[in-house]
Amino acid sequence: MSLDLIQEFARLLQELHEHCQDIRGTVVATQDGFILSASGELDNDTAAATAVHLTEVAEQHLSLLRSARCIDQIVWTDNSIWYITRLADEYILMALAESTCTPGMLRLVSRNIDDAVRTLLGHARAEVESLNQATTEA
Amino acid sequence: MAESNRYVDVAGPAIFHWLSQPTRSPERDLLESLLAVDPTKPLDLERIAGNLQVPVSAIARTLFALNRQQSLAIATSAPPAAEYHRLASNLRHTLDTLGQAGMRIVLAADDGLLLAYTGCEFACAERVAAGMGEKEGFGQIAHLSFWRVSIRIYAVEPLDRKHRAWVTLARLLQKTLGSLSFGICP
Repeated sequence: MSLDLIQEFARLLQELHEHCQDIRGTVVATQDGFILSASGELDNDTAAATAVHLTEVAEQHLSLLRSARCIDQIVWTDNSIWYITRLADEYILMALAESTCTPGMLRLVSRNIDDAVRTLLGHARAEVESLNQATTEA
Repeated sequence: MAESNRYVDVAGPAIFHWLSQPTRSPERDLLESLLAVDPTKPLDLERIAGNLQVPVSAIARTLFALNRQQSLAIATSAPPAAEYHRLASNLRHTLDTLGQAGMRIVLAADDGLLLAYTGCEFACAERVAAGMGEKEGFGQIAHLSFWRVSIRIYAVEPLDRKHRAWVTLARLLQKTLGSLSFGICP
């Protein structure tokens, strides 16, 4: 993955901070639980692994009741809100916010980030394909 | 003064009318374009026409139509930039400005989740967002469409729909949620 793509992820997480106040931290994890980009209190490996684990556990347990693919989770705890969502079906975004944070804005802005990540990955794949083609032709 | 030095902004009541339209139209496209530019700078018709990919003459016609409907605020001198930028610094600040003017407002997503609020407690705002605000006197006053999402505005009447902060609020929402004509602007 190019450095630019990682910088773009950092920019998108910054947008989440700008649009949704009271966010304490964010993390984007790969599907195997590794950290890709993060901010604030969630800037650590444990947060990345937890985001993926929570998504898998929710899916596994809910699937016992009905076949389900976990897309969004909002968890209200006694003093904070946790929001977990998929980005472009490839990454997991988790955000930690104060309980005063409005969950609707968190969800709508995250949906925009999902779109932006899909576009970014589309460009990255096109770039790789073009490089592969150039290599084959050479 | 040069003929081109016109400062055009959207009028408050036009926000409720045009952003409630769920489909694109020349008027709505132009209104969204005006919301996307800095109103403290002179109107650049050619730039807007370029962005919308329509002739300048078509933009001028739509502009006149919007003006006839009192959807625009036109001035020959620049509005105070400092005041505009202070108001436009963030959504909460803008909403607080409406709250300080005595208005009670709740913004909610279509799924019933709370987006933003002013003039009431957090718990009350959550109830209102979920569509249970009648006891508190809240009613839905608008259903605004943005790029792939729409939001509901609940408020307690009477409401000053001409307040300038409504336009700034629409600007910030469009920046955050995207517009029908442009999607999410980079």
